[in-house]
Amino acid sequence: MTSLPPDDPALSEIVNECLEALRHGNSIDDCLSRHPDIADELRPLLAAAMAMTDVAPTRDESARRLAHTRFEGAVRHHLATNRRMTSGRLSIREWWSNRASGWTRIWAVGFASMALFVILSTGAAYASTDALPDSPLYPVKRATEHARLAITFSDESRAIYYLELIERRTLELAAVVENGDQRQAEELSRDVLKNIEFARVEAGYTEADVEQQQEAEQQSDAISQLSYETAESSITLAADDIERVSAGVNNIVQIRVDPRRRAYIEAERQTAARAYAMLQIAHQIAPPHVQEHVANALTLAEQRYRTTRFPDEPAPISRTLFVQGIARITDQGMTISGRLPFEISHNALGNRPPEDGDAVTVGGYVRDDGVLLVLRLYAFEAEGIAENQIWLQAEMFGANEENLFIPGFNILVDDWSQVGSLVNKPGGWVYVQGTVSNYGVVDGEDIHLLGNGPILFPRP
Amino acid sequence: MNQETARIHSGAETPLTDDDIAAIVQQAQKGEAAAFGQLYEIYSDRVFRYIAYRVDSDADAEDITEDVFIRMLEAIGTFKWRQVPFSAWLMRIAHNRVIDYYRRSRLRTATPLDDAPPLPSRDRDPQERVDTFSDLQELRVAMAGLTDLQRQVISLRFGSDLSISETAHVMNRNEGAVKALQHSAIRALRRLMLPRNTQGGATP
Repeated sequence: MTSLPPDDPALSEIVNECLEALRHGNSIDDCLSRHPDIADELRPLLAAAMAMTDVAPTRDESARRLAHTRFEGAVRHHLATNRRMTSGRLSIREWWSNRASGWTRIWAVGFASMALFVILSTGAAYASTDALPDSPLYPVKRATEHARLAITFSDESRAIYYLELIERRTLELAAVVENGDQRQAEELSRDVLKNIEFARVEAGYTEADVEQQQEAEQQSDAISQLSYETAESSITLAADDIERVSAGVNNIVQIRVDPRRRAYIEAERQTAARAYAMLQIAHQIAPPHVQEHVANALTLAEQRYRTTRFPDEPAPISRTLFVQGIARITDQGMTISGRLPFEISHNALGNRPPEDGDAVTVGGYVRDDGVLLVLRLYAFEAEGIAENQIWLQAEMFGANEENLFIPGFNILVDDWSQVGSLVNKPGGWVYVQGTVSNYGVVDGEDIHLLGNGPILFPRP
Repeated sequence: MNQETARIHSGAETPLTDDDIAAIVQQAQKGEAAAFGQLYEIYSDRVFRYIAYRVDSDADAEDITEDVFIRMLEAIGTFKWRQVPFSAWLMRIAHNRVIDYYRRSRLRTATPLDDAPPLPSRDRDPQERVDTFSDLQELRVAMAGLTDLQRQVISLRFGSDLSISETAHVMNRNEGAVKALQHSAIRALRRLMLPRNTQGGATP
């Protein structure tokens, strides 16, 4: 009983009018009653539309939150980059040294670790890690790299990251050469060359450095050779070619490690440690479909953490203990309940035993009012306190350039059953070092600690 | 840009007007981080839903959404309000990302129409049928039987809740054409959803 043909514009108009009415909460019957003559025609269409909205995509809230945080990181980078460019200062180092006074740096490193965490722990972003140029996830991979560069601040770590990019592009290059895609191969060759150049710049390469010049030329030769061979489209890349490229550039960076830069490497290492620690927690709470990706990310983060060290440095002594807790800020101060997560890890003090009063910043977050809350932990002598307690001190610092010091809170961790026996260890020293991170969810006044940090025990 | 759509998806009580959006966009163009945050709040769910209608998994949709906003970030300097509403501009980016996703996908092919479920017999009373999709995946399967333009109009109207006018901007078509496409898309979708329901209805 249709009075209008299906393709009549008037019918389309009425359908649209009804859809708008449904969108505003009217019922199908409301609409049908306004158009009784074509009700039979309309009803199934509107029912189909309703069926469609019934199963409308819903966004996972935690994924949304992570994505938002990640986007904020990208915005920060984008804006910082633009300012740098418009102010004519092209050197990340200048930018960094201009900004990185005391607490600002800690804040920045903290932020970087958070951003790194969300990048690393996002399943899909990591699913893209092995994506080849043909893959639908390849743009995600490149975007993730872009974002990652955005939150890598020290020139040293940027150099190292460029090495990773060189390796990735080279592996992709090998794959597309095999597929015989010459255009992509040429693009990737250019990317490799570009990244080598970036790595050299970040590593502090100077014209005067003859040794590096030679290295660089070797790399250029290797790449030229690759490009040439690619053009021929008739060879597959030998694994040692790839290795030669990466190893050579790696040397460029290693050569340039000097005492001034050790601080940067240290910062990078702490960032890696934080990422690793956070991923441990992420792994516990991740929904099933991203578990595998988080596990992969964890492996990579661990690898990264373990390999970010000075050439002459011994491997860290490491034990791991993981728990979680919630910190609550009250008028009286701050208490941390639950079990705190700590990872027993390497000694950032150059393998010297910690001394009483050694203090480290172990985390922080920026409150809505812009105040940065920083948690610092102090070394203490175990005999001095009850065996199941540990005193921590929290201090608040302004997140602005003034670095306001606000006398902080005492934190009593009273549920220390997991580590109580360790605290009581002969020798007496427990040094809580580095990277307890509470960059997790700030929910009202509760900080859900998502991270963990290292505790160092001296060798017996 | 209509006020309703912005209000619905910003989750805010007060409607955002064109001027509000324009002001936020302008701040973003000046490099104010908070403005980007606001744009994300206002639009990311709409972008996500648009994409989620068109790709197979929510995880992919989330990734592509991220990509869209990074591109928005990079390109916002080129946006000019007079040419097109911001929502339409953003959805064009999203559309291009989806196209790119499929272009790069080797595994994925749309269901050919020949393989689409058969048309229902005409002799049943439509009102006897249960008109539902059991889940989003089923809807996605049905949508694979639509033409690309039909999919686009459905995703923009139902996923992003764009107005007819905004949709017309995204698709570069006049409003009448968009309404006709919308109508034909729903009709086709109705056809594609029927077989399952017909069988279900036959065994009460």
